[in-house]
Amino acid sequence: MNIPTAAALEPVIKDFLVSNTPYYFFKKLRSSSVPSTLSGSSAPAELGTLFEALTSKKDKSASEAALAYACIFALAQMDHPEARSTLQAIPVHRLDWGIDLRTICLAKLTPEVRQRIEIGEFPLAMTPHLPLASTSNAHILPIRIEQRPG
Amino acid sequence: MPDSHWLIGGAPRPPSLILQSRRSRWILNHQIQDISAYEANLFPKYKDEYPDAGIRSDPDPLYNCHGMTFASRRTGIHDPAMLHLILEDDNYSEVAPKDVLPGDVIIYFSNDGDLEHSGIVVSGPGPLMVPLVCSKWGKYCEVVHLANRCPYSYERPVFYRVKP
Repeated sequence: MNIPTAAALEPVIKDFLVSNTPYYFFKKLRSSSVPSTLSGSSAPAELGTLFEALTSKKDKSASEAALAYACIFALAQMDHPEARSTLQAIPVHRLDWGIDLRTICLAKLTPEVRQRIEIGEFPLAMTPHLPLASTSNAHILPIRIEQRPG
Repeated sequence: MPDSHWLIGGAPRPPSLILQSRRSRWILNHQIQDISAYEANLFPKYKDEYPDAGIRSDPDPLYNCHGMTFASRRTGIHDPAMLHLILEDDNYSEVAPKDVLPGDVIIYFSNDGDLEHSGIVVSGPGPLMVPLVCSKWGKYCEVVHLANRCPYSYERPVFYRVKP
């Protein structure tokens, strides 16, 4: 597991401190590399354990809270069968916006995962040109489908 | 009021108030209770980054910018859908930037149409058409600042006033 450095986490903490709504913070997380660092280097169970450790204390630091929120985002964007069940199982209510952020992530990030799954279900005669996996709605690349010759 | 206001998925939510629009529609809200010592230690960074901003209150997590603007500092309004409801039910009408007066509401929209921040105009626009506003920055303080000098995007500011 690659836990982001304090320097990498600082912009997330700053965004967290001035966020007025969970959705605003979600958008900031979406443009941050921190969730991708977590999801790219960890198994869902590891993220669940990290979240549990970060949120078990009552007096969480801002960095612990920001990292815990990033874990929620990371789990939601993972294209892994265990990620969704882990996301449902972790105690997100320990964070003020945990439930809201999980709801937003599931609503906003799920369609892209589904899109990638659907790409794999095209008939064999068709070759999809896969988009780069992106968690940002603003960066979905168009999909081009071509008929295989013969 | 729906039970989900207090209980979602069996988990307790932060306390909330009974809050309604002019047309008696429920406005979901939450009172966040704590600021950790670490958060408090980070707040002075904003004084360094925005030295010309005037701090007019102590940090208070109980309400956010929208709670300051639309709920008299009693609670936080965290769902953007509630803000659209308030604008509609409370008869807010858009005001041209050149006609802005103290007491008008400023809402910061992002380029993709999301409502990101709100505040109250303190003085009308100066020569550069930028008014002075008072707004609450997350869990931080209420701040008096030029509308374009804050942590939030000034891509699409829109001004509103309640019309009878």
